[in-house]
Amino acid sequence: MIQVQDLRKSFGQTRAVDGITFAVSEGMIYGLLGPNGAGKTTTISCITGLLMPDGGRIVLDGCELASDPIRFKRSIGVVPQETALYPTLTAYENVAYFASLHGLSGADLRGRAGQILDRVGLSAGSKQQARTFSGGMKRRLNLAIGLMHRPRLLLLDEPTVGIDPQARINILDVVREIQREGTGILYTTHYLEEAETLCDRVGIMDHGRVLAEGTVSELRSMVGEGTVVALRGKFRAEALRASIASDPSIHLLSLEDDAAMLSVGGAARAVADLLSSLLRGGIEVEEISMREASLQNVFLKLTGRELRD
Amino acid sequence: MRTVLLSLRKDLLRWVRSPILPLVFLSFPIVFALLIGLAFGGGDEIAPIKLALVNEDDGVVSRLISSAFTSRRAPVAFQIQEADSAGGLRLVENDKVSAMLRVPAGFSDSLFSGGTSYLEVVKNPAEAVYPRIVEEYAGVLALLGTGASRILGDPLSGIQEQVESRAAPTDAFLSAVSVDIGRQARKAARYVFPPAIYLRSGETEGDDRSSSSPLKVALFVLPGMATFALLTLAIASMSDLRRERSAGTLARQLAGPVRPWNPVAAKIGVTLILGLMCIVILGILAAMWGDGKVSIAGFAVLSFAFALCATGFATLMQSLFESETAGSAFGSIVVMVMSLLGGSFIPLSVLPGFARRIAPFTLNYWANTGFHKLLFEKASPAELLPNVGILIGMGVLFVAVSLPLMRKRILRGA
Repeated sequence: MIQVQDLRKSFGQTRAVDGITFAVSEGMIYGLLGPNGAGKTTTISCITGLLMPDGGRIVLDGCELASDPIRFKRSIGVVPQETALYPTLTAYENVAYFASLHGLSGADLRGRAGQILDRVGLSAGSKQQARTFSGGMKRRLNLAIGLMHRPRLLLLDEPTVGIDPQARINILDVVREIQREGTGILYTTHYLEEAETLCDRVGIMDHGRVLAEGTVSELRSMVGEGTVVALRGKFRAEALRASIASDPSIHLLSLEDDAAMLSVGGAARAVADLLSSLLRGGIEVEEISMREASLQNVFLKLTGRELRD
Repeated sequence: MRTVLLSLRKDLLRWVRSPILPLVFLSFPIVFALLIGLAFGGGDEIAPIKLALVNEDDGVVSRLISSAFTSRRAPVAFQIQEADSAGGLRLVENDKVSAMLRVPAGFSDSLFSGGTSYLEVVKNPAEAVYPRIVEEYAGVLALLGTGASRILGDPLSGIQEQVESRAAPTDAFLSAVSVDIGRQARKAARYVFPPAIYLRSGETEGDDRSSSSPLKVALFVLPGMATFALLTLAIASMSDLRRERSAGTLARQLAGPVRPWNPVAAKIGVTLILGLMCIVILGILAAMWGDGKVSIAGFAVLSFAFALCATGFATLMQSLFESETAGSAFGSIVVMVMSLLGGSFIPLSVLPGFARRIAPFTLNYWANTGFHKLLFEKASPAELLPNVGILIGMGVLFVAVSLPLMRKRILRGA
């Protein structure tokens, strides 16, 4: 469906997007995961034609954005991060206006508007002006506008930022529904659990680059197939490193004065072996906790810092 | 074109839903013009001019001059405060009177003896108009007094002596003086009062309103106020593009199959329509206030030309700066200056010479003079061509200059 190849965009000396490549196919949710300022929104802006890339290609179903932007844009739907609505227009008027820019009109427009507003749970408020809506309702209307013209590819830029859990669940349900209908979705977020539960493939971005890309399980395997072990106690860095150096299934993820995080491949037995090694190395462990590896650990391993929600 | 029309319809709907701004700009010239009309068009009465009269002469002529200021038949009403010279000056210095008129001692005697006499006017520097009226009026009296003393010297001397004797005049004296004055006047009439120029005056039929009625004054002021308000409205309307940029709706439109100039064209169209709607409403009002005999075609063409010019100007103002605040603030300042120099606030005829020379460089000038020609000189469309041509030319030029800037500053990365 869409291929983004070696996309580059700089603002002065700052490289906002630095040669990223990814592809989203039909019915796939592709997550771009990264902290604020990673380059996710700049990537979306380049794909929507709002920013002119410095280099690279963006191709959707054989149509290149640079050569035929109008045809390209007919196939994409955009749900921006901010609720881009007209407050004094009703919910129906908002969806109808943006859909009409995509060529919808008459009965098709009216039927589609009713269907979409119902899907996002706003059919009762279709005649209400958007300014009277709660934050969650505005977010849902924001999503509805992006879906109106049946886009082949939907670009969702942090669609759940700052909304209540119920509205968030509603939005994620709608995203899954349209995925089932075959729409490709490019989903940017800095919420780890959203990326883990929603996305088929995830690209982890930081400083304008995709540091790693793959399915969630592929990314998790980067930090070991098994368990993440968090230790708290009194230990020296050299001693800890020496203790685990002989076991290739153990990776040090992070290390501070009184805390360390390691990934341990294999089963519980491997964890027991780790503890034995540590004790033999004279390391005092006061607290130990274990959990399954997450994208947080992947991000930590790739960037050396945690991705905060 | 379809997307432009869709955007235009959307924006008009938004203005209808939130009409405060256009209503404010529409009501401003009406309210302001009416207020000025009520303030300055309420009839012929003006406040009496306060004058300190210092009469040190007490002769016949000085009494005549005093009575000329206090007479009900005087063309201007004066409120006289009699004083001595020092007291009169104090009244002037303390802003209690507009001027002091001093008739010096021996004024009448000097006049009758053929010498030179003086009337002294001391004007209050804190006032501009009233002291000038006193000065002019005293000048007229001096001229009349001079003529009377030259022609009626003998009879007036007789009257002077009679007054000074404080005895009741006899019938024989009165008849002799009357005959003498009549004879002197007839002798001088042929040379002094030749009827070379006749003044004919009258009033138009069927108009029972005074020429300075509040509505007439309001009508005079309305075009200037309207041009100011419409330029400001245009700036507010065009800044909506900036607001859409901040709200993200502009980016959302541009992310669709929309060409970059479409939203700009729609905003220009909306601004033009808003301006035209306001002008038409104000035009209907002007027709009601005036005699209604104006060229409809001329009004339509001039209105369109000015609305286009205002729209182009507002587009340029918004395209010059990065932020909406800067564009609107700078635009408002330029509108104020243009309105001041272009005759929107002060009639052009009252402006000083340098301002009148600058006035043609303002948009207001061409709009105001055009509407005045239309309303008060009943100009035909052909007579409005210079105004219309310049306004349309400026409007097109402004739009042409601002579109590339607009693309650079507003549309890029919206």
